[in-house]
Amino acid sequence: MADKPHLNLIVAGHVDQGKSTIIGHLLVDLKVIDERTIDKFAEESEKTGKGDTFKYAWVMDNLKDERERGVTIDLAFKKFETPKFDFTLIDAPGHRDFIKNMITGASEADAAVLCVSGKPGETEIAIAPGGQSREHCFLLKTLGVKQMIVAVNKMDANEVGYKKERYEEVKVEVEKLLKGVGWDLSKVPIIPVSGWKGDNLINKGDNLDWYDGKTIYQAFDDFEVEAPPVDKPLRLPLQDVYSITGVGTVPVGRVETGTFKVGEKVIIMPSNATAEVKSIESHHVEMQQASAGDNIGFNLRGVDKKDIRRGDVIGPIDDPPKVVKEFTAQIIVVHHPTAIAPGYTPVIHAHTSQAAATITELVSKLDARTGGVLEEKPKALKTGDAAIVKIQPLRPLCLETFTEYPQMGRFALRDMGTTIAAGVVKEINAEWDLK
Amino acid sequence: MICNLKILVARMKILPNGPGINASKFEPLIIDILPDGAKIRQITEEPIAFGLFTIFADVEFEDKPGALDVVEECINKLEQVSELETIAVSNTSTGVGE
Ligand SMILES: Nc1nc2c(ncn2[C@@H]2O[C@H](COP(=O)(O)OP(=O)(O)OP(=O)(O)O)[C@@H](O)[C@H]2O)c(=O)[nH]1
Ligand SMILES: [Mg+2]
Repeated sequence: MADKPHLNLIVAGHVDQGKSTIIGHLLVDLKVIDERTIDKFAEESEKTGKGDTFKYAWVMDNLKDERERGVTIDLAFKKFETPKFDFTLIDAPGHRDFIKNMITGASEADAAVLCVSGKPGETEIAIAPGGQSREHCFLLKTLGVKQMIVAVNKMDANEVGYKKERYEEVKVEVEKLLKGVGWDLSKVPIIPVSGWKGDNLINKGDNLDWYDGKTIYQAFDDFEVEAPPVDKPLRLPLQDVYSITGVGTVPVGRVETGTFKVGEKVIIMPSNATAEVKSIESHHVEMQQASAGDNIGFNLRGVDKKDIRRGDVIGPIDDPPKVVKEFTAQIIVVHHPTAIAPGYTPVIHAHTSQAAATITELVSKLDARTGGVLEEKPKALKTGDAAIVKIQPLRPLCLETFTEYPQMGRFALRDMGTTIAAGVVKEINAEWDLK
Repeated sequence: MICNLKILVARMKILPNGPGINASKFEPLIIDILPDGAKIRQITEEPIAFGLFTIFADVEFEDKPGALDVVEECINKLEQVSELETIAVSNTSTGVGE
């Protein structure tokens, strides 16, 4: 197999909109799901008298019994390819709890399919305030996902009847939603599909002849891969630090931006240590220079393992990573049992770091649909609210603005084992004075 | 019937506590300590530097509140684990076509 760019593809959307059905059908059509598994189901299908044409429907209908039957049709992290890309699929659980993982491990999500049911009623629930589609749209954006396709699903349903009018209705609603969250509409195809029957997944089929756009599979190849941000100043968050016999101090991490060269002097914040890069390795091969996107381990001279730690960020001495004392952020509250008021102190998780942090001020509440201000200085925020707030980490923490360094400027707020909010850094108001 | 527990899979990125620990050395350790209902699906490695590997483990677990935390805690307790981070969670097939 040729070396195509690899993209992680998240399939998101409100419960029951048909995410798993779309993925399942796509994988069957792409022959990624084991033929024998399908055939086994087909055999059963014949026995029930429905015949082979019902093969797919039957498979889907009976998945819930699969474990008793000892057959697994597995959608998790399945890989497939298009002419241009290699994809790994993530069938995102609706759970808010997994948001933190998506944020800190965010480079893992490159592209998304947002699934919205076209069935009257279902669409409205999904995109209403508090509906998960709205939340997912915001989060995907926050996660740095640049490429998205919206699938208007269940076009085959009786109430929809493959009608163009219904598709247009849903499209208008979806467009409003996307615009509010800041998606560029010209870059987000909205495709009518039936995950169930397969229309517009790979091939067009005859039921949607009024639609002249691309199918999902065709639209995948319109995704653009951005060049890694090598021209920005170096930012390299440490994942871990080792002391290796015969080598010395060896941190490991992923270069998020810029380049990192042997012989260079660098600064490590907030530990406020300087060191010289003695050697760099990736895939156990020595290299003179690493750049954005590389996972590396490297030997630093002039600093001890005990002086630096996970969560520290390496940067150039003349442009050190910012150590933030107060910042303004845009957040969305994904789950809070009661309400968030100033003084609330959850734990902030950003890149490889975490620290207790106080929300000191609620600046404004935003209309999730338009992004406009709904209320100045609200007294409290509850689940589903989007807002501008001020936050103060209780100890030095490296952060950057999301526009400058997306990888370093997004975060999750966690409390009592769950994710409370996700957000991006809009502005840095005060930096820590490290002497 | 309806509250059929879903199975989720977490892809965990694990940094062992020193050089030389690769996927095949790590697998038996992790199998031993996983809580009930959790299972390794796949374990791979990426060589990094100076004999260090990053290990990627796909662990399936039942979709119950806090279940992922329990799995993470168990693995984190291994002395060979220095850092652990769940980088993605995906549904499996169960729950489709209910
Ligand atoms: N008519 C019709 N029904 C569909 C279609 N796709 C999915 N469904 C039905 O919608 C229901 C939900 O489908 P799923 O694929 O499980 O939805 P999901 O988004 O994965 O749901 P969760 O994982 O629970 O969030 C099931 O009963 C499917 O049979 C479709 O294209 N047409
Ligand atoms: Mg599903």
